[in-house]
Amino acid sequence: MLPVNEAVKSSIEDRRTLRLKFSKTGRLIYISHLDLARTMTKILTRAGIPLWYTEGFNPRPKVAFSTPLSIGTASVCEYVDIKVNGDFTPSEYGEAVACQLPRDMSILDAYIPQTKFSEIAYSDYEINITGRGCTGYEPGSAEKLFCEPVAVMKKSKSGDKEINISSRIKSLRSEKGDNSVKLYVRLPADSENFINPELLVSALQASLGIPCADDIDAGHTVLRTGLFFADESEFR
Amino acid sequence: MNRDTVLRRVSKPGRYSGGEIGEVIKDKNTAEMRVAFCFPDIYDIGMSNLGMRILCGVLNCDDRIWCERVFMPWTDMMQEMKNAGMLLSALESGDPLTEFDMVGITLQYELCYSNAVMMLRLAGIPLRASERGEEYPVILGGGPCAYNPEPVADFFDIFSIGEGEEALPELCDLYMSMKKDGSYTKKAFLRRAAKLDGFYVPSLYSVSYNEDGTIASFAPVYEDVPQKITKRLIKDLDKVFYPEKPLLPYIETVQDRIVLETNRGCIRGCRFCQAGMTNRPVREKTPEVLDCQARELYGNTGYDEISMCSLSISDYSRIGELTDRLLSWTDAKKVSISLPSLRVDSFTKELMDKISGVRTSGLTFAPEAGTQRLRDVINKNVCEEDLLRAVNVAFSAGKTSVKLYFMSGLPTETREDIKGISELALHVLDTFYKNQEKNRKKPPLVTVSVSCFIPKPFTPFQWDPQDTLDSLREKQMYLAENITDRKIRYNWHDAKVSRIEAVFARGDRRLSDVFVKACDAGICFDAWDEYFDYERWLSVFGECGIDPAFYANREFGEKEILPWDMIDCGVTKEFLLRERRRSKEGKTTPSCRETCSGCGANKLGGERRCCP
Repeated sequence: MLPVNEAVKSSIEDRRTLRLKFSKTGRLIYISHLDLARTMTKILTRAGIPLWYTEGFNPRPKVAFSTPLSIGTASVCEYVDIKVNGDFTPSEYGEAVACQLPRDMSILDAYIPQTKFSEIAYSDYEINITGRGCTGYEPGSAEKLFCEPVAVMKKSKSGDKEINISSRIKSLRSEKGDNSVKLYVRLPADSENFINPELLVSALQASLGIPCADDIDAGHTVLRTGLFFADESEFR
Repeated sequence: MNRDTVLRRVSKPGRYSGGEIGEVIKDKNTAEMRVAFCFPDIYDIGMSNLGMRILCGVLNCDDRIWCERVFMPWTDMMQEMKNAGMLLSALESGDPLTEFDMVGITLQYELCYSNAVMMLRLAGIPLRASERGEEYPVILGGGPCAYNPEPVADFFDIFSIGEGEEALPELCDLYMSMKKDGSYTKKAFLRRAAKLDGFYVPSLYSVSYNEDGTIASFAPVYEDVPQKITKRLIKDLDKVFYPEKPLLPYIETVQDRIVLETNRGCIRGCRFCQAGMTNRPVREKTPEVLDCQARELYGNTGYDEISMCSLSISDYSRIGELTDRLLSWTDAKKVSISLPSLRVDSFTKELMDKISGVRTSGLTFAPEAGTQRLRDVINKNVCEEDLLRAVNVAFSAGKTSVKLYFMSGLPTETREDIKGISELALHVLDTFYKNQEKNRKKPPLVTVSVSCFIPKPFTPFQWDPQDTLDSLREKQMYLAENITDRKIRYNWHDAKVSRIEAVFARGDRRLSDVFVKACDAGICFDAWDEYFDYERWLSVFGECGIDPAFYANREFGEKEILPWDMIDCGVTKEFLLRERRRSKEGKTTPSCRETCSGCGANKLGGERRCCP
């Protein structure tokens, strides 16, 4: 049981933040995280959400996103925390925002958060690789491949670094389809250990021998399906 | 390789994916006419173009028409498209341009001509109009450069001259009615379109040349084709369509904010300025309508900045009233107001106070020339006193940096005038130091930005030669030597780029070979530093037997037939010649608001103009 004044303080704090869970799919996968962040402020303004602004010469609203999403990845579990003025009913605001969204984005939930984004430890991805090379896929080969170290150059602003992506995979399961291979993976979400699921795709495509230059059906999709705490329970 | 794979390989795939809020999607099977509106530069640049937004919006108001957008793909995408055998297609539907009824390309600046031609190539459309059969769309050109369309005339079927809000729907109406009653063939359509006001069909005119290369004759091929084409003009800007539900780009574009067009045309008559002349007569929108539009736009977009679009915003007669109206709601909504380059003689403390509100952008002034003598020659009616007073207003309000625009290579220019630029900059710095109310926390910064003079059609200087490359560069270095104070930053434009621009600006039809060869050689993105290649242009000119100096550096004769003489933009040649004479005598001409100088644009009419 919290001391009385702390309970009041935390409830005042909580009352001011709105958390929205949203999906980003379809043509929006080509829009970068930064571009989406910029668009979000305009969406919120159009929805009439009374944004809280920083004091000073250059007032800015406080809108923070959960883990960044790479270009090309779709997601059904993105979160944004918005600092809002005054009392509100989360569902009311969620609906107002939903009316201002483009077709490839939807609001999945609206509530007052009790957790922080820094507590997010893992993200789940569903990867679908298509192409002629997939027909010869041996079930279990992906699991075998990532049992051994797989070295990949990770590009970063401070220089390229060679990392072993296999060591960072929390769990992985593969499934063979007709002309496709599906991967269900759990990867770390914190900035230290984060790896782009595209790296797994390239490694697997290389070993499967796809895409062939003339195979127009060769391709892949990546969908982020969930976020988890360190104890692997679902994030909210 | 499919589209998704291609998009994953290029930078900023959002440029090509569409799906923006405000996107107009119609059913292509029920649309009577499909128009593809092309902007010859990348998405990031083209999306902020107001003209494109207005015209696409106007056409989409008609239920029978579906107008879609096309932008120039960036070089990485061009390569991927080539490898994958993909044709240039429109953003909304993803359909290739060859499936459209009409393809419009807006010509915004001369350096985009190579991109415009390249877009036709990327679309799989034969470049020359004469090579295209019925199966290809009608290719329409327009925009500011259409006032001299001759260098690219061979690539277009028809040009829209002047303001297109009423002209384009008329053209589309004609197209649809001819298709309906079965009378449509491209030839028949163009013959009838040539009779509509404000349309130029190049194939219906023939040109011949003298021994010395100048034009011997330019005349219509048939009797019923007009000798001169008068530009289209919107009479009442308050009543004309304005896009209030704009498309919102995800990608960061260059001018990502609410744009309010306050007026068209300019009262000042600076002698180098094409836009000021070709957009006359000056017509204004009322503050009531502008404020309404601003509120609508804010509600439909959520932008936090409003910018005024005007050739000279401080000359808008009701600027005080407009800013007052806007400020009654923008401050509370945390929306800032920004103004484009300001005229020094009408910049006041009142104006400064109003835009100081929320977030302020930098202040820019354009003295254009370093000495009063030269400023009088170019009719930039401002004196040093005015400039110093204006910057003082800015400094007193806390601003510490100011940008000054100049031009070098102006007619009658001497070294004295170049030196004058550095002296003016120093005087501005002095004014800062002497100002008692200045911001003492930051050091001052005066940025001097110098471009090269380019003679443009429909200006009093249209006959004047551009300074030679050597002379321009020498002057640039001379100025650099004279600017020694570290609080003055000096930028200058590449003279080679300006030279190519000058060739295209005063060019004629003989340049079409040049553009075909340039396209074959893969030349494009001339407005981009990393792609502009002067030597390649010189060699293309050489291969086509074109001497660039003929267009850029030659003084045109006052009795010569000019390539753009068939167009009537309102302002008369007599007026331009009068102004040229006055410039040689160092005489200034007052603004339209002070006295009418009889430029001739008045005959075109228009509401709320200051013509008598």
